[in-house]
Amino acid sequence: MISIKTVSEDETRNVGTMLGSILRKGDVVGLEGELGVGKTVLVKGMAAALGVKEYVTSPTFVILNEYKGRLPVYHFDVYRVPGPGDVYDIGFDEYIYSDGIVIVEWADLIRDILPAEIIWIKIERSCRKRNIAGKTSNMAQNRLFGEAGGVGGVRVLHMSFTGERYKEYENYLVSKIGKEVTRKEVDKE
Amino acid sequence: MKDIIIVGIETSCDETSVAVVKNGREILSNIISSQVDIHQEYGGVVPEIASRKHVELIIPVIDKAIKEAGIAINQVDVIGVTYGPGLVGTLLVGISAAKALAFALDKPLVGVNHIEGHIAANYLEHKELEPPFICLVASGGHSHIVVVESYVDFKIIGRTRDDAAGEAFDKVARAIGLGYPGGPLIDKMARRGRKDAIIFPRTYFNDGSLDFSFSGLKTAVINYINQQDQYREGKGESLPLEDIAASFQQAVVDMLVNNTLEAAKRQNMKRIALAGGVASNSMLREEIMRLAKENGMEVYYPRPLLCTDNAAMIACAAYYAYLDGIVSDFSLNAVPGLKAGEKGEMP
Repeated sequence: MISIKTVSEDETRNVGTMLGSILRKGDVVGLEGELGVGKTVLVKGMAAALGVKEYVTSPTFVILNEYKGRLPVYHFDVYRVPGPGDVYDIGFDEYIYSDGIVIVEWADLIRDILPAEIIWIKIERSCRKRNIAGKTSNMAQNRLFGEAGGVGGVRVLHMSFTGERYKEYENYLVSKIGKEVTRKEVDKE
Repeated sequence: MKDIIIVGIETSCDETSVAVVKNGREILSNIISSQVDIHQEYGGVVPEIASRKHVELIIPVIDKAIKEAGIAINQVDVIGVTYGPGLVGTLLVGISAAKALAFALDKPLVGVNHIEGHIAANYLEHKELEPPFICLVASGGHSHIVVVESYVDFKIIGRTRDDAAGEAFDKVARAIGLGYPGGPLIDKMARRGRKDAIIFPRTYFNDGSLDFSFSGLKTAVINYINQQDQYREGKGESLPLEDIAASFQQAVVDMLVNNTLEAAKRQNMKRIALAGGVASNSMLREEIMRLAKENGMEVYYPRPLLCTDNAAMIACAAYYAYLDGIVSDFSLNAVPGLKAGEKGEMP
């Protein structure tokens, strides 16, 4: 796993662009992180590198956006889907290992039905952890406040690459990030 | 002239809706699944989002729409159906039902763009309204400024580059612990808050574009909440949720209103219509009415029910397409990423 610190939306997007440049047909990327943490920003970067010309917008309401790049990009947001089983009702399994690339926001909500071989990116706000559980009562709030709260634009992107097909991805990113991210902080575990 | 009876079918997202509309503007029935207790009438456990929900509901909803309209099914002249944008699975349910109906009755089928349907909701509300005009279509899934050149010609001159306006409402509502959908709840809470209490950022583009961006605002509100939460926690104070709601809503409304008025000025239009769920927002309505009046412009918007996803608007749009000779054949397919003004031919 590698952890990358970004200090702005642009830097987060750049990490997406670097990853997007090496994505291949059938790749699956899962994104995890609170509301407003930059999941869609990362997708914008990946899509740009994949040659998508149209605007990459949030699919929260429509659940799936399809873009035409050098490969088709299937951009899911499963926040509104009630449970993993219901994802099948929107044809999810037809997109996995299809002719394009699948990117899933709120992937942690459907982890059970995602392939074992996956690129997983967890984005966190970078600041001290705190617990305000006493104040929150429902799931939605816990999703927002549960793990980390924070101020400003500093983010930590934890990226893990599981499976043979992603073997070279991590090394590539580490070498690439050394050159291109202005303020870098790459920890290799 | 003989009356033209249109059946409209809408299944692009959460709602299963079927309507019967006479001569484009007179609603005979407009059944929306979430508005009626169809589950109780027909039984069955229904998940929130699923194509199979639409499969279960589509026939009962068609039956109810025909019955409530007081017509016989063979009096139907045209079948209009949403074919995009939306979810492919749910769109296909409506399209399949519409094709079956068109085939069985031997009547023409008209594929309707959902966004153009929202615009047409204004024709149902305002019998005198005719194109051209500028329309702001703002909902959970869309934020567009559209030049409505005629009943069938549309040009998008502004769109969101990230979140839709209604989505920003939903996400901020989530952040301050309100339920779903967020729009009406924030609208209500904002009435008790000060809209100038917190200055949240408004995003405008330097390149003269009338596009929208709501993601930065959403992040700013969340950052503010996190920051204040930490600060106030120590002092035992609670968050000023009403002020946050009012100040956030003001920022969204400013962006929507400014760009829409600018669009009207650039296009030399004196009429502005609102459409989509966000068109029900009370602050948006007040602000745009006030500023339009100062600029000698008129504002139109549908009643809240017609701002939501409904099939009457689809029937209305289908009527004008039909009059213009636009008819689909049985190869009509779902186009999930359809844009306003596009016909959606797949490459």
